[in-house]
Amino acid sequence: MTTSVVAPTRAISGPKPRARGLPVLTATLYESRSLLGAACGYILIIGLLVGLLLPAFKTLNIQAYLTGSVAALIGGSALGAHTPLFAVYMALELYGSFFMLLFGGVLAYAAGASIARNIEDGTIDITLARPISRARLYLEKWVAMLLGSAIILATSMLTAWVCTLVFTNATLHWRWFLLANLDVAVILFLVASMGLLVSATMSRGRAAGGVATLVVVFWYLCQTFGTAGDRLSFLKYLGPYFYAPSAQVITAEQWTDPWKLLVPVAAGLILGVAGLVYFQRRDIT
Amino acid sequence: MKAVGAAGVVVDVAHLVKTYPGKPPVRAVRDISFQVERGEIFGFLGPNGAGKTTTIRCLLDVLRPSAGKITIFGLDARRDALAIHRRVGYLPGDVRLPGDLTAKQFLNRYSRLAGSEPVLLGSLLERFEIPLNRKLRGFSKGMRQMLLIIQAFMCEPELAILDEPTGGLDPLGQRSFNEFLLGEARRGLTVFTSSHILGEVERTCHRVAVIREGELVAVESIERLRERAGQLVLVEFADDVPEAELRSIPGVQAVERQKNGSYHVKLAGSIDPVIKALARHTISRLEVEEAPLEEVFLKFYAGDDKNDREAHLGAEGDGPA
Repeated sequence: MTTSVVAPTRAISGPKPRARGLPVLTATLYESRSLLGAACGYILIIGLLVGLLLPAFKTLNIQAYLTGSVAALIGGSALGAHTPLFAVYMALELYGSFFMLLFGGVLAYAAGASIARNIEDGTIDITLARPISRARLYLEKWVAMLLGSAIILATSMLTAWVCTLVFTNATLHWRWFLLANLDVAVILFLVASMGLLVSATMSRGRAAGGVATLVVVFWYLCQTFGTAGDRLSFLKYLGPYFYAPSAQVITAEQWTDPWKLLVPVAAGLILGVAGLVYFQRRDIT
Repeated sequence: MKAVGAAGVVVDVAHLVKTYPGKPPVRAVRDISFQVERGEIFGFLGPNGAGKTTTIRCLLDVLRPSAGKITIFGLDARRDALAIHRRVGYLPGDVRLPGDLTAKQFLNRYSRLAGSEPVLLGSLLERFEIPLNRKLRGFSKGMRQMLLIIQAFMCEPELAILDEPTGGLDPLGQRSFNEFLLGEARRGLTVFTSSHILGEVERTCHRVAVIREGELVAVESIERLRERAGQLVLVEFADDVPEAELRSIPGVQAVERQKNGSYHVKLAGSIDPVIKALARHTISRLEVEEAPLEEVFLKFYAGDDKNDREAHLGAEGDGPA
């Protein structure tokens, strides 16, 4: 058989290497910027509102407020003997289980859509046709979501710090506040990992984001119904907030059973690694 | 230039099978084998749903073959995917570009992902003019295709895998791309391209494979296909020549008498017996032209090739000489 292949006149030299950094990570953060920006904006507004309304809050009976349904949201009704009022309201507005629903939901959607969106629009084919392994792609997206969590937490802490500088009587006991942030970090780690697992198994961005968000909603409902009565108390063990009750740490100024944090950490690792294993084996269709 | 596989084979697909799970399972690719040589432009043709894109995505390890082996540059397409992908440029057939990026940001992103300098970017931008600072959501279909062409070639790959590369390009753009492709092939670039534009395939490809319903029905050089397509001879005699005489010439497939008395003769194989036979008469006009390949392709597409199919695949042997 013959062909008319022409001999090369000037050979192609082949690709010339360049530093590439973490292109998938930066691209993922860029794609999630709207969601993360909205979450951070909400935190900023709520934090500043709490600071502004602090004088009005002083007239309320906070201990009474912390009982009943609010107790379910924060995982307990105990109030520390010297807990600052500003810290209590910050805990209620930004660190209760509703925080997990709101910001966990945002993060879950971003993580859930992160891979599936690229499969849906076809750009993952171009990415994987480059010298980027599936493991690297997955891990960079995972780290991007963890960075997203860090950005949310940093905004929260920064907002609280600014409030303490700007508003009179806006004081915090930083030890408990930071420990509460550690609790939230653990929850967001679990959320990001779960989102990545969902994303690794699906091929439609919005659907994957929606499924991941629904999981967070389920966890939130587990917390609220699980603490509402004895018959459903088993439900609270299914949600991560039971293991990392961030608002309770601030209001009660207690950090009991820190080993419980290992549960969501381990669950997050298992879900994240399961997603990685599945993503490496699957067909991108 | 880095080493390639044995005998200059860049792409070696052996007994590739890809079945999508489902009820019933979809057998998208069924035991296909072919090779692509270095510096060759290899066309991969077939009707919609024939298995072209599935094959391409298996080459890139985006899809995992159900059976068979793919070797690129002598390396295993799955195990050594990263080493292979350093040397490959890919142009997808169906992709939705991120509209919030500018062309410049998009090219920079994919150059970074490649870990390679976009050394050909300047020359590609001269050939395929696109507004670098405009958001991609404002790009026309043709501009998006040019951008994808640029990203596929900017890092100077040794192998280009192209899925419908000229879709959306205007005729000028298509011609410019074909010229570019032929030039790069002369420099040693190997090209594996799927296409629906048969004329373009005829002009640019050295060899083609035709896939239909997941099965390879032909792997042929363009020359061989041209031979199969035959030639069209228009002949006008000064004297009266009976049609039966023309039909009796070896290699003549069909004879059609025109109103003006001239003949259209469809010829397969060598023209020599025809010339010798015609020389016995006084000829007032003679034109010879190659029959368009389109008919051959369409015959494969439509499945009217059962008699010839074995011969087409058998003729492939171990690839081009």
